[in-house]
Amino acid sequence: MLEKDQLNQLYRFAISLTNNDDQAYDLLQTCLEKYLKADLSEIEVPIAYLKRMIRNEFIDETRRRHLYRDVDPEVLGRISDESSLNEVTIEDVFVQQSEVAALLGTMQPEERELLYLWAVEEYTIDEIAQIKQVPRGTLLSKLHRLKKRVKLQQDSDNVLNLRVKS
Amino acid sequence: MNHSKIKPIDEALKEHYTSKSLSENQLEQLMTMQSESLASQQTDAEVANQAARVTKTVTEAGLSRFLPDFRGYRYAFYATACMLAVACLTIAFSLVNQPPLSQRIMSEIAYNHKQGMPTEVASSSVDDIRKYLNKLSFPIISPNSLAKPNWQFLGGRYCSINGKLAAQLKIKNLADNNIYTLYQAATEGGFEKSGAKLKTQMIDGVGVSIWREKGLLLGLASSP
Repeated sequence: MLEKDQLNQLYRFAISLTNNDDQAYDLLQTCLEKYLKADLSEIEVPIAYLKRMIRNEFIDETRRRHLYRDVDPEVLGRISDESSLNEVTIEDVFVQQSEVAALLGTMQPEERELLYLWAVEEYTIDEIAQIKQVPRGTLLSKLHRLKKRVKLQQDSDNVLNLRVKS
Repeated sequence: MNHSKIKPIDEALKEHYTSKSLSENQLEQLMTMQSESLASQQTDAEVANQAARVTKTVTEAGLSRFLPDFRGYRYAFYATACMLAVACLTIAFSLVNQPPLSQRIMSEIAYNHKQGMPTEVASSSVDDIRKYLNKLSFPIISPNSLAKPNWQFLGGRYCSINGKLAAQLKIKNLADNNIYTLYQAATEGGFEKSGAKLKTQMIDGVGVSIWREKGLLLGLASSP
C-alpha cells in the first residue's frame, strides 16, 4: 500500500506531464485504479511501475485528444545545435521563482518530465535515459534545445521589459 | 514589478513542484481506494482458498466412497499384489510348458487302463453296449482297424477322457487271447487337434495307441 508521501511524489510527477493540477490528479487516480487491479506480487518497485503507467496513460490520453505533438519545428529551427552535446549543462540557467509556472507552460510534456526528474527527483541524465528507455544523446539534445529556448524566452522578455520601461 | 528572487533553475523547479501537494480530501480518497482494493483482494483470496479446500474435501470424500482406504494396509496390499503376480507367472509358465494334448490323452488312457475298472455292461454285441451307454454324445463304433474276426467285444463302461464323457470298452484279441481296452471319445473339445495319424507310445508300462476314425478319437491300451 502506498504512503501519502509516495502518492504526493507520483502526483508531482503527473503534474510535470500535464502541467495541470486537476488533470494530474485524474491521471494519478486512473493509474492507481489499474495498478490495484494488477498482480502486485509481480511488481518489484511500485513507484517506478506507477510512473511508467502514468507516462503511458498520459501519452494515450493526449493522443486521444490530439494534443500530443513533438516540439514545434518552427521553434526548433531557431535553435542551433552547434555546441557539443557532451558539454550540456542546465545548472547555469537562472530563473525567477515566479516565472517557473509560466516557463513550464511553454514546454512540451516530455520536456517538463525531463526537468522534473532531473531537478526534483535528482536523477542524472544517464539514470533518466535508463528510466525512460531512450538514448542518452536524445536527452542531451532535448536538454540543449530546452536551455536555448529558455534563454531565448528570457531575452525576449527582457527586450519587452526594456521597451515597456522606455 | 517582480521582486521574486532569481535562482538556479533546478532549485526553482524543486520549489515549484514541492509546493504542489494532494489535498487532504484527495489523499483520503486515494488511501480509501487502496484500502478497499486490499480488503477485496484478501476476501477474494480467502474465498478462493475456501473453495479450493471444499473442492479438495469433496473430491477426497467422493473418491473414498468408491475406493477402499488402503492407506493402513499398504504392505498387505503390496504383498497380495506380489503373490498374485507370482501366481500369474506360475500359471503362464505351466501353460506354456504343459505337454501337448495327444500326450495328455495317452497318459490318461494309460492311467484308466491300469485302474482295471470292471465293465458296467457285459456283451459281445456292439449294439447292446451302444444301447447301454446311451448318455454318450456319439454312437459307439466298431473300428475298421480292428478286423472283426480277430477281435471280440466283452463289455463296456463310461469313463472320462480329458474331462469329457467317453466309452471304455474291453475287447479281446482272439489271435493272442490278450485283453485290451478300447477308448472312444468325441473329437470336440480340442481332440481334433490331437492329429489323425496313429501314435503309439509306452506309458508307465502300458502300450497306448491313439488315432482318429469316423470322427472319433480312438485309443487302444494293452499291458505286455
